[in-house]
Amino acid sequence: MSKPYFVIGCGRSGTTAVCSILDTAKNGICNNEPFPNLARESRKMMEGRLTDPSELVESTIVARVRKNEKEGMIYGEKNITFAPFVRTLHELLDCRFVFVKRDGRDVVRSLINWHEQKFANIYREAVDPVRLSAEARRYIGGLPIDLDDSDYARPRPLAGSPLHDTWLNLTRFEMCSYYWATINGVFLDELNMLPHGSWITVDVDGADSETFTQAAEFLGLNNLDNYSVNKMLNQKINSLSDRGSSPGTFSLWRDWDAWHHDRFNTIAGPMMRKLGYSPHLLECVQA
Amino acid sequence: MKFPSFIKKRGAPSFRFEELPSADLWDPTTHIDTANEIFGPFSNSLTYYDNVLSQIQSINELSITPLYRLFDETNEQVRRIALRHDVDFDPYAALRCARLLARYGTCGSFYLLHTNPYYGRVVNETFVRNPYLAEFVDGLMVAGAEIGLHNDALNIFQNWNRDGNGALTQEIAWLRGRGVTIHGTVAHNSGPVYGAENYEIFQGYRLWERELKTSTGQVIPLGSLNGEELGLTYEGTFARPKHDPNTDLAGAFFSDKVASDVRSKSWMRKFLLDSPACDYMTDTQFWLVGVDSWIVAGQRAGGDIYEHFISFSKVLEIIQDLPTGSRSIMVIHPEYVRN
Repeated sequence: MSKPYFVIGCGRSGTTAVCSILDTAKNGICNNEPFPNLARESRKMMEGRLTDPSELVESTIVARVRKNEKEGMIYGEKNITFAPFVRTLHELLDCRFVFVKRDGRDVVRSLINWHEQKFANIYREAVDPVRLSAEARRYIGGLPIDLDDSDYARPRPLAGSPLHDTWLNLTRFEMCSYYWATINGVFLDELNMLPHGSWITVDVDGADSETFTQAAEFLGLNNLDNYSVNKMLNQKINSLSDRGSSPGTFSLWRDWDAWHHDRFNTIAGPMMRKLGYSPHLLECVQA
Repeated sequence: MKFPSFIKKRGAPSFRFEELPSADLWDPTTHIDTANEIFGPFSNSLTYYDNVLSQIQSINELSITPLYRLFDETNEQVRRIALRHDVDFDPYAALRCARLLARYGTCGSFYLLHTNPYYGRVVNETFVRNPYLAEFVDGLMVAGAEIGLHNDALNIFQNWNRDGNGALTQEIAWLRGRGVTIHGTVAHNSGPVYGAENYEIFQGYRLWERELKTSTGQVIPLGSLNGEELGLTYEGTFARPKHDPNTDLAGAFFSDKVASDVRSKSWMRKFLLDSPACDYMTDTQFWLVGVDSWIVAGQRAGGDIYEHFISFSKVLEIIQDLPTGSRSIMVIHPEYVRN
């Protein structure tokens, strides 16, 4: 039986699009964010409050994979909350990973627009004045934080780390920059401990049908149709417009002012370089 | 929703309600300066509240829930504690508390006092909501708080000579129109202030038969408002009328305004534990009343417990010993949690 796989990455990086495209393979399925997704456990794990996740992962994710495996079919799923469980998943399932990355500046912009236009639950503690669409207000009014695992899952600075003491004075922009940098760091730390050939990276913004041909080959998937792949890429799956919402008003990073560039670069600059995103452009902006 | 018709016929007249902002209605700076002046000597830092939260979150087998879930029937064996925030005066302090809770993914319950100027005020026979109010409400929603009203209907009946039931009903509708999901209210003030508890406006909550009047002699319709029809599932003091109240003692307690003082040990004990008119559904109440200063009242296996002006370290010991299946509340006035 072929190895199962997981699509992973920071939220708003294109993981849903990658999952949807891979799901079109004739010999596989890719489930989008099935539950349980270990959202609360993910935060606990990152904060050192969950030390041995094997039993948890075995009884939840591994059990689900086993249940869904079928002869001749490759099982895949996408969840953005698996960052601290990558090694455990690999140990228990000998699985593969598709790590989806995206320029942090685009992710932060997308997160803020997603918050203001759609769900209003991204870093709920941010100090910014609230600007919500009617849709976002309707959604958040029915979602007190005790029912909201998704925001809880996002990392917060631990005591002793640089942003811990000033966290509640930070804007959502700064918190989202922290999220992108931190969660990608956790993914990379975990992935880099896996055997060579266990994972590949996909950058959706630069992806084309060839990208997915290679990904499919890596995963053992077949019959991905180039025309359909390109069509799905153009569709911008799970964007605000794809979800029928207003596109949002937060600026493209090229239009950010000096404060935004400076704060982003301070918080996320090292991860930008680590992931191979235009340090040249960053430096130009700084200059 | 239905509204008892006799109130409109016989009771106090209703307000007109105005939603348009009036820029000169409220000065946040002056309001906060006043809050600092009044509450400053009794206030704790946000770091103090942060420490309180982290300590109770670290207690094993203690679930922190919003008030609307305190008496959920699932997992009855779990010890539950709810964080009730009565926002008497300072919405900014309330927002800071809510955001602190959001950092931990903890849901606190916040009750907005609809008679305080931060919420609104009467201008030329019209109740005008504060232009900043919508921002406070949105801020609390985004922070993930449960939001309710700090019911002060009797104040409106008695001191504003208007229909308090109608005002409360109207504000519930307005908040729901903003997207807020409201499950409950919490009575503001205490019985001696108005001669009755604010929760007594609700059906089934009148503590004993008596006539309460406005300053102009109109009868206040205690026990008339149907909470269920308003879509409410709880009253967050969790008081319930005694089956056989001592009306003489209750009358004396409710008519003695001079004695009613949150800092009086004997009065608070009577208010929270030895009331002649009501019992509480909660097992224990923990009230923050000053600088690292708490009042604890309730029941334990060995009988009643009442502690006056104790530190949080002692409160923590009591919380750690809460019995299986217990339901408790911490009552926080955000005014006591300042910068």
